[in-house]
Amino acid sequence: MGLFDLARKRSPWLIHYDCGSCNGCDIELLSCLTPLYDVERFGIVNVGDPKQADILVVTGAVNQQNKDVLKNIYDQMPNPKVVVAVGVCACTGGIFRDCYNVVGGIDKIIPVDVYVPGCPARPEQIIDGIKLAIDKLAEKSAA
Amino acid sequence: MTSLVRIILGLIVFPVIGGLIIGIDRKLTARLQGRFGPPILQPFYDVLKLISKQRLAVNEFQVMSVFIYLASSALSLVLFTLRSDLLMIIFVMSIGAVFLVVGALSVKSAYSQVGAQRELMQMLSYEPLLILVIVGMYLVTGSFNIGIIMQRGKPLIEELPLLFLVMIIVLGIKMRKSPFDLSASEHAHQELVRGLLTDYSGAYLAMIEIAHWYDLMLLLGISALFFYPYTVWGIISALALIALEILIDNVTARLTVKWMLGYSYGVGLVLAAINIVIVYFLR
Amino acid sequence: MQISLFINILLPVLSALVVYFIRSEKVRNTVVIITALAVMMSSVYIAFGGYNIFASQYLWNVKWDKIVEVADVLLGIYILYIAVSLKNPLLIFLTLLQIVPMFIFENFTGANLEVNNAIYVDHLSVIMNIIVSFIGTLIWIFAINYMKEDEEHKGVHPSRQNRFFFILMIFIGAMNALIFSNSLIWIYFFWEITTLSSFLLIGHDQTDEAKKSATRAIVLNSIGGVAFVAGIISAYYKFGTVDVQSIVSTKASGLMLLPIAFLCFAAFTKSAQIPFQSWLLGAMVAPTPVSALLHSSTMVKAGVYLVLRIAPAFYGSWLAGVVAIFGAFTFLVASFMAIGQSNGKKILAYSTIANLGLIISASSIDSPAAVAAAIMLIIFHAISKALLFLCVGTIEHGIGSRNIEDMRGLINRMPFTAIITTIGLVTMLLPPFGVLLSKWLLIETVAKNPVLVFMIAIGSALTVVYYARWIGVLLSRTSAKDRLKQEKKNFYEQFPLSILAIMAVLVSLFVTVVFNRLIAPAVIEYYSHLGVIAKDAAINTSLGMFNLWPVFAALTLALLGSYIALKESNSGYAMPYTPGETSADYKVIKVMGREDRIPTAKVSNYYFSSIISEKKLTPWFNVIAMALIIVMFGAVIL
Repeated sequence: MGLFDLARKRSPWLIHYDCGSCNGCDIELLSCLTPLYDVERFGIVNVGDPKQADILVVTGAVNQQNKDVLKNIYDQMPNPKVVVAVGVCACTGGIFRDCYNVVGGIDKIIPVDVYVPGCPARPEQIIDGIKLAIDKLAEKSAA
Repeated sequence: MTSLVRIILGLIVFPVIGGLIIGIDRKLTARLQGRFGPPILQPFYDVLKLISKQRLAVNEFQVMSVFIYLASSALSLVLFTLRSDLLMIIFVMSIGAVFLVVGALSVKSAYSQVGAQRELMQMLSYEPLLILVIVGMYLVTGSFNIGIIMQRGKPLIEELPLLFLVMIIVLGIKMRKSPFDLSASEHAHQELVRGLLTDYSGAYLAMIEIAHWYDLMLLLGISALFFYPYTVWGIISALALIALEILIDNVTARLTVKWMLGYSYGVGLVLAAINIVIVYFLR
Repeated sequence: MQISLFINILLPVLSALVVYFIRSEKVRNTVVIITALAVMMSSVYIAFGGYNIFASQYLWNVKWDKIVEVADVLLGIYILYIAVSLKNPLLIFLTLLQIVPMFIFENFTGANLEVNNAIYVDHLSVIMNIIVSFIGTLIWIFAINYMKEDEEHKGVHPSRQNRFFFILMIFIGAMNALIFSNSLIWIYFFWEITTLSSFLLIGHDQTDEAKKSATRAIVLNSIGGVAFVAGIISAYYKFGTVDVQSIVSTKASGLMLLPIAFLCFAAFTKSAQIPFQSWLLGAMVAPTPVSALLHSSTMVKAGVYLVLRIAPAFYGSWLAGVVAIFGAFTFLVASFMAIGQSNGKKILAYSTIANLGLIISASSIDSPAAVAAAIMLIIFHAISKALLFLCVGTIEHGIGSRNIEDMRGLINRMPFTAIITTIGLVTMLLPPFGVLLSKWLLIETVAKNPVLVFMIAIGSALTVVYYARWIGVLLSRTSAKDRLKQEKKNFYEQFPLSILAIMAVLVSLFVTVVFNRLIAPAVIEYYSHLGVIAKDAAINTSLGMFNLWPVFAALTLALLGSYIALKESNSGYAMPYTPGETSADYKVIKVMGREDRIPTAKVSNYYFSSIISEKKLTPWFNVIAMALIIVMFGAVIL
C-alpha cells in the first residue's frame, strides 16, 4: 500500500545499542540528534524500546559477554527491521578483532543490512547509512 | 447540526486535529531547541507505520485493555460533541485510563509495572481536579449538561478564572508533559524505557496514540468551554494552553511522584477550593 | 403475605434448629438449600406480588410484642453471661447499661409501647429483603463447601459446622425481621441478635486473635446498643411513641432531634464508621462467608438502613448536615487507608466502610435524589462486595494467602475465579455499572455543597487506585502461549460466584427497571417527589443525564474488537521487555547480574507505607471523627 510505504519511510524509529564500543562512535551517533545535524526532521526518534523500533543501530565489537544481549534485543524487535553497524568495530571487529574475548563484528551474531565504516564514523556518514537502512526497510516490507 | 454530523465530527475530525496539534507540538519543541523538527504530519506517519508492523502482544489482556482504552476515549469525545453530561464524560474517560494501567500491570516486566504504578498516581492527581472543574461549572450554570451550560450567554471564565488555571495543571498531568511525565515520556525522552507503554508495540501502540489524541481534544474542548459563546476566544485559549504546556515542558525537568501529588493537591486543589467557595458565597 | 413473612423470618430459625441438632452433613446441606430456595422465592413474591404497603401487628394471629420483650431480656442476660465469662468489665458495664434502663422503662414507667403496625412492609424494606434473601442464601450455599474445606485445612474434629450454620441461618431470619419491624424496640431486639451472631461467628475459629476480635466487636457494638436504648427512651418522651412511621412523619426540630442523634450514633457503630472501624477490620479473621455476609452486605447494612429509615425525620436540619459531613469524612479516610493495604480482605473492609459512609452521607442530604442514590448504592454495593469477599475466600483456599501480592498472575492458576473477581472489581469501580452510577448521581445532587463534594471527589479518585492495581495484578500473564490451568471445580462454590457475577452485570444493565419498580416508589413514599427519571436506558436528573447504552455498546465493541484482533494470524506473542541477558525461563523476570548471579526481579505495588500507616494515622482520624460526633450532638442540644 502506497500510504504505508510512505509512512514507513517518513517514520523510522531507531534503537541504539553499544556493544563494546569505546564510545567514540556513540558520541558521533548521538550528536546526530543535536540541533547541528537534527535527524528528527526525518522523523527519526531514538526510542529505547526494541519493541517499538525499526532500526537497530549498533556500535562496538561483539564480545563473549554481550553476544546474548545483542541477540536478545534483535529478537524482541517486530518485523520489518533492519540493522546498521556503525563504526569499524561493529563492522568487522576493528582494531580489537584479535582480542581473546572479542567475537568479531556484529554480523557474527545478527544479520546486518548496512555497514557504516569509520573510526569514529562521522555523523554525515551515519545519517547516510541510516538513509540506506530506511530504503532497505521499504524493500523488506515490500517483499 | 444533526447528531450524525456531530458523531462524525467527534469520531473522525477532532482526533485528526488532535494529531495535527501534537505534530505542531513537536515542531514547536524543536524550534525552541534550535532545530528544524519533524513535519507537522509526523504523528500520522508514525501511526501508519506502527499499524503496518508485525503485531506482537505479551498476553491477551494487554490487547483487551488497549481496545477498551481506545473505545472509551473515543466515546467520551463523541459524547462531548453530542453535548452530554460532563460528569458522565469524565467517568467514561476514566474507564480507559484504568484499563491502560491494567494492561500495563498485566505484563511481568519491571518497566511496565513501575510505569503503571506511577500512572495510578497521575490519575490520583488529576481526577479530583477535573471533577472539581466540572462542579465549578455546575455551580455557575446550574447544570452538568453541556447543552445547558452553553446557553448561559456569558463566558464561564468570568466567574471561574482559577478553575481555568487548574485546567492547565490537569492538561499537563493527563498529557504527560514535564514536569509530570513520570509514567511515560514523549518521543525521544525516555523514562523507564517507555514506562507504561514499554510492552506495547505495533498496531496496539498506534491505538494508544490515537486514544491520546481523543483525550487531548476532550480536555481542550473543556478548556474552550470556558470561553463560550466567544468560540474564537475559545480556540485561541486552547491553542494558547498548548503553547504554554510546550513551553513548560521544555523548561522544566521531570520531578517525583511525591512532588506531583503535593503540587496537584497543594496548589491545584487549593485554587479549585478558593474558586468554588467564592462562587458558592456569591450566589 | 403471611406465609411469605413466615418463610422469610421464621423458616430460617426453624431450619437452624434442625441443622444444629442433626449432625448429618447430607441433611444439613439439603436443609440449607431448600431453605435458601424458599427464602429467595418468598422474597420475590413479597416484592412483586402486588402488595403496596402491609402493616399488621399480628403474624399468624400471634401478637409478638410480649414475646419480643421477654426475648429481649433473655438475650440481654445471655450477653451479660458472655461478658462475665470473658471477664471484660467494660462489656459488663455496657450490657448492664442496656438491660437495666430497658427493663425499668418497659415495666415501671407506665409507658405504652405497643405499636399497632409493628410488622411493616413497604418498598424500602422490600428492597433490603431481596438483598438479604438473595445474597444471604447464596452465601449459605457457598459456605457448604467452603466450611468443609476450611475444617479440613485447619483439622477441626469434631465438625463445628452445625454451630456455624445454626448462627448463620438465625442471623438471616433476624435480619429479615429487623427489616420488617416498625417498632424501635423490635428493631433493637433484632439488632442485638445480629450483634451476638457477629460475636459468635467472628470467634468461630477459637484462636486467640479471633477471640480478641470478637470481644472488640461486641464491645463496640454494645456502645451502639447503649445509644440505641437512649434513643428509644428519649424517642418515647419526645415523640410519644416508638412507632417508626409516626416518628418519621413528624418534622422534628430542636431537642426532638436528640433521639435521632442517638439512633444515628448506634448506626455508626453498627456500620463501623470512623472511629469505630477497628471492629470491622479485626473481624476479617472470621471465615470468609462471615465476612461476606455479615460484614459487607447485610449486618453492616442494618446500620445504614436505620439511618435511611429515620432520614425523613431529620430532613434538612443541622443534624442532617453534620451526619452528611461525617459520612463523607469516613468515605475519604477509609479510601485513603485502603491504599496502604496489601491484605485483600482488609482492602475490602476499608472499601466497605468507605461505601457505608457514602450511603450515610447520601441519606442525610436534603434532596430525594440523594436518597435514591443511597438506595442504589446499597443494592449494588451489596452484590459486588459479597461477590468480592467470596472470591477472596476461594482464592485463599486456592493459593493459601489473602495478600494481593500473592495473587499476581492468578489468571494462570485459577482462571475461573480470577475472571469472576475481575468482574466484581470492575463492577465496583467503573461506569456503566451500578456503584459508579450511584456515585455519579450522588455527586450531581451533592454538588451544591462544596465541603461534601470535595471529600467525595477526592475519595472516588482514591478508590480507583486500590482497585485498578488489584485488577492488573490478577490479570498478570507472562505469555499467551501458556495454556491456562484447569481449575478444580466445585459446584457449591462456583454456583454462587457465577450467580452473583451475573447479577452484578445484569442488575447494572437493567438499572432503569430496578429504579422504576423498586427505588423510585421507595423514595416517593417518604419524600413525595423525586427529581430523577429513569427510562430508555438513561438516568435523568434535572441537572444531567447518564446514558447507559452507549457505554455498554462501546465496551462490547471493544471486547469484540480485541477478540477479532487476537484471532488474526498476523498477531504473534512476545516476551515482556527485559534488557540485558534474559534467562531462558521467561515466566520469571530474571536478568543476569554481576558475577554470573541471576537475581530474581521482584515487583510489588506502591503501598506508601511511610505515609499511610494505620498506627500513625488512625488516632488522628478517630479524634476528628469523635469531634464531628460531638458537634452532631451539640447541633441538636444547642
